[in-house]
Amino acid sequence: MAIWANESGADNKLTIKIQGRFDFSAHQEFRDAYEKANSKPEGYVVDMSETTYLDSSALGMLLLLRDHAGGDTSHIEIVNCNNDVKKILTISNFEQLFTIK
Amino acid sequence: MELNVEKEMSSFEAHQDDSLKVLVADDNDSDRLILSTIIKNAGHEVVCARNGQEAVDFYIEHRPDIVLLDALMPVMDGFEAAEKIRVLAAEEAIPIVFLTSLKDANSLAKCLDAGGTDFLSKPYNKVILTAKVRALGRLRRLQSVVREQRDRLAVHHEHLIREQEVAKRVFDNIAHPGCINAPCVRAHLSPMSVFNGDMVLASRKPDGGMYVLIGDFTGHGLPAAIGAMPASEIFYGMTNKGFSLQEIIAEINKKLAHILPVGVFCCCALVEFSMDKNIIQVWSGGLPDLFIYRPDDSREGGEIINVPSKHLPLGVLSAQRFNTEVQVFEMQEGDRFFLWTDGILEANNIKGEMFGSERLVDIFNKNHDSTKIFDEILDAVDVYTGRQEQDDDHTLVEITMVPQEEFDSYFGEKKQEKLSQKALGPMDWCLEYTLLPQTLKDFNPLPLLTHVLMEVPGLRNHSSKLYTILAELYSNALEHGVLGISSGLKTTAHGFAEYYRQREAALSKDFEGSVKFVLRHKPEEGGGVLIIRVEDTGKGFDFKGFEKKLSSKEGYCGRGIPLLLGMCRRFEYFGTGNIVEAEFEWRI
Amino acid sequence: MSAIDVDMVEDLRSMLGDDFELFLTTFRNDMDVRCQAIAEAVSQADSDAVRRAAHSLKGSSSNLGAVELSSACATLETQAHEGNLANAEALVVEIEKNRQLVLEALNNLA
Repeated sequence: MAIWANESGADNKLTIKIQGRFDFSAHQEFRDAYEKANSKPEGYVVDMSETTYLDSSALGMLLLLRDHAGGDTSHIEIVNCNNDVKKILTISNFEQLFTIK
Repeated sequence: MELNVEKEMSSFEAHQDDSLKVLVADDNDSDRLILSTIIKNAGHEVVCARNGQEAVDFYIEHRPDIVLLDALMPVMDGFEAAEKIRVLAAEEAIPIVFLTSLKDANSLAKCLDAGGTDFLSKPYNKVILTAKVRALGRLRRLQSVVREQRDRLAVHHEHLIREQEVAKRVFDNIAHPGCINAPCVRAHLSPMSVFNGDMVLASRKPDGGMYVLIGDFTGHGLPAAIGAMPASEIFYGMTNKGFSLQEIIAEINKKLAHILPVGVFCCCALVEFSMDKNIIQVWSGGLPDLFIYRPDDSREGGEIINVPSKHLPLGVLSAQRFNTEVQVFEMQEGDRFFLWTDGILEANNIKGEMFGSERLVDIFNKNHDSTKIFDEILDAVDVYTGRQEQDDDHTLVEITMVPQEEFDSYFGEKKQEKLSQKALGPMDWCLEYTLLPQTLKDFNPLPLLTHVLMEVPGLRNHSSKLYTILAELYSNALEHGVLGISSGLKTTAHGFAEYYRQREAALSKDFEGSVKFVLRHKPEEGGGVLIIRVEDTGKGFDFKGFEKKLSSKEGYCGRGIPLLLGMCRRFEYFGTGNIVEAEFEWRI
Repeated sequence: MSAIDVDMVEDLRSMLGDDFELFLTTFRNDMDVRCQAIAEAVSQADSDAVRRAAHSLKGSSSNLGAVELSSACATLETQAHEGNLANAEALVVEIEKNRQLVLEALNNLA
């Protein structure tokens, strides 16, 4: 498991990419990725292109990110999900809280 | 175990300064004198032995931290002594250093085979020897810290398990048994379910229906247990008081959103079973698809109807944004409704692969006898995971649709409360309560009215019937009267859903009108009578034709009235059909 | 060349302090015992006993830097380990000669 955060200047969005299993072991790293960002971004992109699996604690972490990003006023996109990941997000109806692409 | 750790800890603390106890075994007196002097000068304690046998004996007596052994000694050589000391030390990784002037590779290998940690060759060098002893001392302390921490963890773990067992008993004492033991309900929960975050609650509704709730909190341990307590209290409390499914799920969500930290939530389904109408209503959030299984006697398997989760888990959304929309399904007698948490689907085999939905569906497709499917699922998961039933982590619930009379018979007649002439409570009173549009929109008056009625001890034994009467009359007055929705819709599941849709739509718009309750209670010879009058501002209906239809027992009228007729000694419509009076009597 | 390394012995003296005299006595005594044991074992052709005694004296003498004595013991130990006592008599003489030299050197210490 590895996590990268990348702030892109143009649209002022923070992209967080998770490689491998997204589970409780990623807790601190995922948190650091958005808490240690330099400026307050206008939006977030969670890139799941290399995420193989997520469990319920990962869902919890996404909710924490959402809370950090302003809750109901947050703009978070979850992108490039594989089928397994998408299924878990759909079962939990996370499309009601996040933009899932 | 705790005593052991205490001992370990104190021996560890005694070594907090760098002083060690070192056993030196050498048959050569002058060498021994040099060695022990070097070690003493470095601040350590020395125990001397002159041969291997003495080394073993002194090891037992003094339990040193480090052992220095000459390889060639009379009586017992260093190799044999090392092996014996290793056995005695058991899991303590005691450093053993061979003192040797042996130079050939075979001899050195023999030292390692015998359990040597290191070598030291003659002539002894003070600097090297002191440094070596210090390094081995650090290693030794590190090992004892690790061991001591491991033991402490073991004690903590034990402690935690014990606390969980106590907490589980507390929880069991608080939690209502509900109707989870009814023959049409089967539930499998891990014995420590409270702490793996799963819960199953089941309770009979005052109107004769049943609610079943399955919940799966994220995480384990305390957060899960903390959430389960209020959820269960709200569930049983509100069910008893006659609240609707929507009101109960909204209240549990509100409570969990308030108490659970962000990121902790509860995947949950709440299902209302109406055996009399053969209808179920499902609110499901964050759970995998639930199944309705309709066995087909003519073949293997049967029909599976997937019940997908439509909502976010509980505890995520604020009360304002929470959505209570339900899915309605028409059921048939013998249908089985299956609820589960992701524990079944995600049960891992030894290779770490999940059980998955295909294997689950396969069990249904191969089923011959629907009464066995519950066990077939559990067995299949146990076989797949290779685990024993007692350490599983999955939750499974099955509810079979049975006729209402059979369902009622599970509970028998409630024990009649013994009434004495002296304690009859409030016997002569009248209550008038009118609900105006704003209140009609989102307030449920039934818990309040039931509460007032329950102040009369003589009515308490009939709470279920009274609730049914009030509920039917109120919904008729509000829905058919004030809102003007046709009662004909409620005959099918599709109609039921449409009916709900219309009701929601009508309530969300502005409307005029009111519903008035007049409850009057009077004493009678040997008991009392309650007159319930419900009056709405709607345009009424052709109650004369309706009464004729009722007496000729023609068809389903959609107003739940035949049920009420059997409960009341008088049941009458007035006005344009917008006023109804029901008289309910009780005896001591 | 001296039979012992004076610097090493002086190191031992400063390290052992009051025990230095005890050490010298112990060492002399030990040397006597081992040399006797070696001679006896050789006359009885007990190669294992030869090996053990030579091994012990090799080690203890090395602590004083008695290189000649220690290496004579090492040669005897190796040969005895191989079961070869052909040169043992000669080595016993060699060891005895070196023992005397070591004793002398120790006596000459200040």
